[in-house]
Amino acid sequence: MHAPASRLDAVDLSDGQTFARGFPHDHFVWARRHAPVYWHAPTQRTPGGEGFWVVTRHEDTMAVMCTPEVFSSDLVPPRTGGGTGIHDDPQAGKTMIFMDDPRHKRFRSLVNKGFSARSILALETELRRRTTALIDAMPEGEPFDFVDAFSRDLPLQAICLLLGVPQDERAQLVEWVDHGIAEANGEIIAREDFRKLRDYGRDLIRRKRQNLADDVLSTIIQARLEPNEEGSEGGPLTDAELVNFFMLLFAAGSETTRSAIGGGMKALMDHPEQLERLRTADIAETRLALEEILRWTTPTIYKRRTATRDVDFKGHQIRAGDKVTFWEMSANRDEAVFDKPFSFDTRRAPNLHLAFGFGTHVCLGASLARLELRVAFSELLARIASFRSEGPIEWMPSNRLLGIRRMPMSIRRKQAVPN
Amino acid sequence: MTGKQIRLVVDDERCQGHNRCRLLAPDLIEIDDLGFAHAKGDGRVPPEQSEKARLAVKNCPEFALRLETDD
Repeated sequence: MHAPASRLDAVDLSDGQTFARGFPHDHFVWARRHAPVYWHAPTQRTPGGEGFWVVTRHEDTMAVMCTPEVFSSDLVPPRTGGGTGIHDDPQAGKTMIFMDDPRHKRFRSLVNKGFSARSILALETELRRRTTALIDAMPEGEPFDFVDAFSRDLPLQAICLLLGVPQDERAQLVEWVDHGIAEANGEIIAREDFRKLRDYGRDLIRRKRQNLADDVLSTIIQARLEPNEEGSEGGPLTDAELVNFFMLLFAAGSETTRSAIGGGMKALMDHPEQLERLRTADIAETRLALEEILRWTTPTIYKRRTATRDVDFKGHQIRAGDKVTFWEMSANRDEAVFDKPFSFDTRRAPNLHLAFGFGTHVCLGASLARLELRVAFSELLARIASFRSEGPIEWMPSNRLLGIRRMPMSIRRKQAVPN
Repeated sequence: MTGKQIRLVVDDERCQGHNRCRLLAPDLIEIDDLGFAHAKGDGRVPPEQSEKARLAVKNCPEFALRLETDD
C-alpha cells in the first residue's frame, strides 16, 4: 500500500528542531506500520538539498547494517563526501566510522584491545571512586541539574581516563563538543568547534609523543597499520589520522552515555517499583536492567549509509549513490520484536535492542558504556534513599544524538551508619 | 540418527559480553562472573536445540558465535 505523502512529509527528520521535544515516536509508529521504508523528500533544512531513504523497522535496520557491501559507510564516488550522517561529510574515508572493511578493520584493530571488555574492567575501581565523589557532591533536598552534577561528567571522566586526556582539560573540551552539536547545521559538529577540537587534538598528540603512558592515545601513537593487499605499506598513523581517532573517540565517549545515564535515571524515577527492585537485584538482573535502559534511551538515533549499486530493498528501487538512513530508536520500539515496546521493563528478556548497532561497526565503546551504567546506578542506588523529578527534561535540538541538555531533580541521601 | 554433530563455538576474543546468546539459548551458553559467554560443555548442540543455536549465532552483535560441524 502507498502512504499519503503528506503524512510522511509532516515530520522533517533532517531538522534538528524536530527532536527538540524528544523523539517523534508517533510518526515512527505510523511509518513502521504503513511505510516501513520510505523516501524522505528534501526540505529547506535538508543538507545538500537531496532526499534520502528512511528505514524504520528492526529487521530492515539489521539488514542494512549487515550488508555493508551494498550500504557503505565510506565515500561512494562520484560523491565528494559521505559517511554516516545525512550531511555528506568530507571526512568520509578518513575516519574509522566512515570506512568499510577491510580498511575499517585495519584501523579498528588498533583500538579494539584498549576498548575490549577485559581492558575496560580494569577501570572499575578508579571509575567507582570518581562516581562516588560526584554523588557525594550532589546537593540534598533542593533541585539540581542531574546533567550538570553527574551524567555529563562521569562519561567524560571515563573517556579521559581511558584515552589519556588530562582531566583538568575535560571541561573545555566538552564545552566545544556540546556547543558544536547544538549549533550544527547539517554536520555532526559545527565547523568552528570542530576546528577547535582538531587543534586541541594536534597539540595533545604532540604532548603525548613526548610523554607516552599506558592509555589508548599512547597505544595508537605507537601502533603500526598492517600492510594490505592493495599495496598500502602500512606503518605508523599520520598525525591527521591520529587526530581523527582522538576526535571520534572523545566525542563518542563523552556525548552518548550521558543520555543513557540521564534517561535511565528518569525512567527509574517514573517507575519507582522497578527502581526499588533494582536496589537488591543480582548481577544477572542488573545486566538485564541496563540493557533495557539502553533500549529505552537509544542515545544515537540514526545512521546513514550510501548505496553502492542499484538494489531492490523491501519493494523499493534504491539507486546507486542514494542516501539510506536507518533509525535505531525506531527499531528499538518495533512492535514486531518487542512486546509492549513503549513499556519500560527492567526484566525484558531477551532484549535485542540496537542501541550499540550491530555487526562490523558495532559500538567500540559498548563495554565502557555498560561499565559506566553499572557503576553509576549501583552507586546511586546504594547512596541515595529517594529520587524525585523536579520538572521535564530539556532535549538537545539534534537528530543525531538524543541528547539530554537539562534534567532537574532532587534527592535524599541514605542515613549514614553511626560509628 | 545419522545427522552430523553440530557444535556451538564462542570466540573469546570477540565476545564483549552483550549476553544475548545466553537469553536466546540458555541450555547451550553460560556466562562467567565477568559477563563473558562460553559454550556449555563441549558445545554439542542437540537436534532439538539447533534453532536456538542458530538464533544465538544470528543475534550476536560481534559475530562472536559460529556453528561447526564435526566430520
